[in-house]
Amino acid sequence: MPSSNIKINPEALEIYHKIKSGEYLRLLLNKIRPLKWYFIGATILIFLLTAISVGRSLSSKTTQKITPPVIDITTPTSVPQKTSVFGQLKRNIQSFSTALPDPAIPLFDNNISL
Amino acid sequence: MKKTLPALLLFIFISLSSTSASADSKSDYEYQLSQYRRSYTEFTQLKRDYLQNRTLDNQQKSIIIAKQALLARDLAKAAYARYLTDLITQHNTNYVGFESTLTRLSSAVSFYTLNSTRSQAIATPADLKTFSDEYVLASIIPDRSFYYGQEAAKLAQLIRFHLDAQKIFDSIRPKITQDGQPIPLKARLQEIPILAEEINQKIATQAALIIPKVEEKPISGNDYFSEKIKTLTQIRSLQTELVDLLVDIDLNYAQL
Repeated sequence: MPSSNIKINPEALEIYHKIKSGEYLRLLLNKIRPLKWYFIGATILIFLLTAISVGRSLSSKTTQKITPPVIDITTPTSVPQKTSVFGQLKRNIQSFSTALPDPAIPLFDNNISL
Repeated sequence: MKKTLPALLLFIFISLSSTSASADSKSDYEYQLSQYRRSYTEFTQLKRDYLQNRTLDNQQKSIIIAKQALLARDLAKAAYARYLTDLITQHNTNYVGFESTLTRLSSAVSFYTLNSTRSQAIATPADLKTFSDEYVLASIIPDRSFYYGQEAAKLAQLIRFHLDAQKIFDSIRPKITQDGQPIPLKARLQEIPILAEEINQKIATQAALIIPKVEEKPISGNDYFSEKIKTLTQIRSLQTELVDLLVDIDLNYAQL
């Protein structure tokens, strides 16, 4: 028959009770709370780095190369410019000045006397 | 020797005159105008001296330079009238409506030429006054011809455009006057004579108004031209419309 004489360390028992009551957890949370945003930021960074590494490992496994689509560049067809036989006449009419007098009428003294 | 010297001077004068005459009317006018301006400036200076110090010597000097100014003035006016005549006739329109204006300009040239020689007989201040008093009245009609010439020259240019349009249109007409003309072409061909007639009417009306019935006073200032400029602008707009129509016919029907 086994002996029931078990020695329990009282300090350990105290620690046990503190863990059980959640006192240690509260202490830990109180220490962590001011650093909350650092932890959130680090978590996001770790998540992104993990996602990139997963994506890279997946892309290295596939052999199919993906290339960007070729943009269809169409060159305009050269249309010969038609010129009218009235072109010069049209330009002459457009440049015709209706201003009068043209040339200016000079001033003359009609009453030259002493 | 006494006979050869005047002959030599006459030869030099004729040579210089012929050189001047061979130049075109514009450069001749510019030269004569510069001569007048120079003479007139000298005259005003000597006249001032004479009015301040009425000596016989100053009077004689003033009379001599006044005669030079009179000569230069009438030669410049005659040259200007000839220049305007050239501006009208250079377009080779042979337009009947300009005959009266050309006659006026020709008469003006005769008037100024006659007075350029008449003025050289002036000997005293009294002669000069009599001459100028008569000249002020007699020059009203010849001086007005400058204004008529201005307008006729502009109209002549517009008539030239009209004649050129007609000539070019006649050259492309065989290409478009065939059977089975498209409806839009027919419509455009119907518009042409209507527009051309409208332009002709406006030019004829304006040409008939160049010389007014009443010519009592001298014309001064540029207000005289304000209504005439409006009409010229209207004619130019109609010609632009006509030539746009002709360009459309040429590009879309004649050149196909």
